[in-house]
Amino acid sequence: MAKKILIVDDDPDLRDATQIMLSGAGYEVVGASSGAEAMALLDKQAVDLILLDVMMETDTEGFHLAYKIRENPQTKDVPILMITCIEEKTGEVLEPDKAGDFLPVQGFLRKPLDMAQLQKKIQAVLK
Amino acid sequence: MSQAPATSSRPVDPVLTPSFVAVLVARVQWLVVLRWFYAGALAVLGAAAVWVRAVRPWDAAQATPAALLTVAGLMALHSALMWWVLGRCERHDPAQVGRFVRVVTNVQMALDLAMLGFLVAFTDVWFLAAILVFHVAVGASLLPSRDSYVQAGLAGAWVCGAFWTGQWQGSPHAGAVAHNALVLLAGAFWWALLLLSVWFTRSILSRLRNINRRLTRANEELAELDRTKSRFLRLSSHQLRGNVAAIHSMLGAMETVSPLADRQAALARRIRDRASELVEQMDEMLLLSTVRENGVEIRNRSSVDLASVLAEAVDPLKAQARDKGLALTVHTEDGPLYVQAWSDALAVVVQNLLSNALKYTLSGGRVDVTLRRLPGDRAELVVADTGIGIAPVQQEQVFHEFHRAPQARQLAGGTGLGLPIVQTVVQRLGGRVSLSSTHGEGTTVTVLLPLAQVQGAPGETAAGDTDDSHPPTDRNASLNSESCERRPPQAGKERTQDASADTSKVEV
Repeated sequence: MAKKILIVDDDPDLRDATQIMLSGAGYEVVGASSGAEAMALLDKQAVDLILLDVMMETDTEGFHLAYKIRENPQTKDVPILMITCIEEKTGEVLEPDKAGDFLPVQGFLRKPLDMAQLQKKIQAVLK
Repeated sequence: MSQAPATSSRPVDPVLTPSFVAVLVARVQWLVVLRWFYAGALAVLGAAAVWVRAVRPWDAAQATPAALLTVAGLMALHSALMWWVLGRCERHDPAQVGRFVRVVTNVQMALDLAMLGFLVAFTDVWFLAAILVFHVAVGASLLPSRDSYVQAGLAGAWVCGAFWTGQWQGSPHAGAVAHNALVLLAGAFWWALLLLSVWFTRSILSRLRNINRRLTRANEELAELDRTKSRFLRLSSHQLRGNVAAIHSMLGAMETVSPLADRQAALARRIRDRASELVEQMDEMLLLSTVRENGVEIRNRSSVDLASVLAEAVDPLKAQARDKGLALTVHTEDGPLYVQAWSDALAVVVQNLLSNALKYTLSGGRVDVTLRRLPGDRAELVVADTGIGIAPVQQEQVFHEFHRAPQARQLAGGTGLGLPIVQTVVQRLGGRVSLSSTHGEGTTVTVLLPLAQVQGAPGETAAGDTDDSHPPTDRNASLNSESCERRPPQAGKERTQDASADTSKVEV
C-alpha cells in the first residue's frame, strides 16, 4: 500500500508541485495550507510522514505545529521533515545541526525541493 | 570665596546633562594634575629665590621667596583637596552630582585666579597675568555660559587688584603706579581682554558643538537607513525566493505529470537551471544581508569544527576538479579546529573560496588547500590556485559586492557576491581575509579565524600535541617546499615580491 504523506505549506503552488512530484513517485499525498487545517486533517486520517514548511502565517508556525503534532498521542511517532529557506538555516531561526536535538523533527530540507534528495530523505525516514 | 554661593544658588542649568558633567569631572581632574606641575615649578622658583637672597642680597627686591613658596604650598593643598572631592564625585551618578560638580569647578577656578592674582601682585612678574587668559578660556569651554563670564569678571578684578596693590605700603612695587588714569586704562584693557576670550572661546565651541550634533544625528540616520535597507533586502529576497522556488518546483512537477517532447524538455530544463541560479543568487544576497544586519551574530553561534567543514566542502568538489583536469590537494592537521561560528555561514565561506579557486583555474592547474593551527589560538585556511589571477587594480575591488573582474566574467558565471560574503562572515567572526595574486599565475586567499576555547572537547588536546611535536618552523619549511614544487622558478620570489608591479597583496 502506498505510503501517505501530508504536506503542510501555505504556498498553494509549492504545495501542488510537491504533491504532483510525490504522487508521480508513487506516494499518496494530502495537502494542508495551515497549522489548523493540518491538525484537523490529522484528526481524521493517519499519515506516514509529514512535510512541514517552517514559515507560514508566522515565522515559526511550522515549529509550533511540529510540537503540537508531537504532543498528540495519535501522531507523536509520525516522522516530520521540515522545509526551510537558507535564512532559517543561517541562524535566524535555528542552528540546523543542533535542531534535531531539541526539535521533534527528523530532518530539514531546503526550498526549492530537489526531487532526488527529497525521495532519498523520505525513504530513509520511512525505513 | 564669595562667588561660590552665587553659582550654587541658581537652578540647575539644562546644560548640566550627565555626559556634560562626566566630561567636566574628567577635564577638571586633568587641570588638577596640571596644577601639581605649577605648584612644583613655583616651589623650585621659590627655592631659587631663597638662594638668590643668600648669594646676591642686592637683588633681593626682585626675589620674593615667601610669596612663591606660599602660593606653591597653597596650590598643592588646593590640588590635593580637589583630587579627593572629584574622586568622590566620580563615584556618584553624574545626574545627581551635576550642581555640586559645577560649584566645585567654580570654586577651584576662583581659587586659582586668586592665587594667580596674588602671584602677579607680589612677585611683580606680569607675564603670569597671561595665564589668566588661559584659565578664563578653559573655564569658558567647561562651564555654563554665565559662570564663565563671572569667572572672567573675577579674573579682571584680580588684575585690577594687582594694579592697585602698587599703592599699598609694603608691596614690592609700592609707588610704582603713578597715574590713576593709567591704572584705570590698564584695568579696563584686561577686563575687556578676558571677557573677549570667553566670548571667543564660547562662540567657537558652540559652532563645533552644533556641527558635532548635526553629524551625530546624520550618522544615526544613516545607520538606521542602512538597517532598514538590509532588512528590506532580506525580506524582499525572501519573497522573491519563494516565487522562484515555486516556479522551480512546478517545472519539476510538469516533467513528472507527462513526458514532454524532447525540445520542450530541453527548454524546461533550461528554465529550471536558470531558476536554480536565481535561487542561488538570492541565497547569497540573503546570507550577506543577514550577516550584515546587526545583532544576528550574537545569537546561535556554536563551536564548529573547521576541519570537518572543510572536509565536507571538499568532498563534492573532488569530482568536479577531476573532470576539469585540476589537481586538488588538501593539507590538514590531525584533530579538530573549533571556531565559534554558524556552521552554515562557515560552510559558505569555505565553499566560496574553493569554488572560486576551481572556477578560475584552467585545466592542468593546481588548487592547494591548507588548514593549520597558528600560535595564538588562530586557525589559518589557505586556498592557493594556479589560475588566471587577479590584476592588481582589481584586487581590492573583488571584495565589493557584485564586482567581477573582466577576465572572470569571460571565464565563468557568478554573482560577484562570493568574496564579499567571505569577507563579511570572516570579519563578523573576528577573523581576517587577505588575498595575494599574481596576474596570470594564480591567487592565494588566506583566512585567519580565532579558535574557540572549547573545554574538554575531544581531540582538542590531541591537536595541541600535534602542534608541539611539529615546531612552526618545520611546517613553514614544508609549506615553502610545496610552493617550490608548484612553481619552481618564481616560488622564492613570490613570497618576497609583494610590492612589485604585478604581484600585490590586499589585506581586508
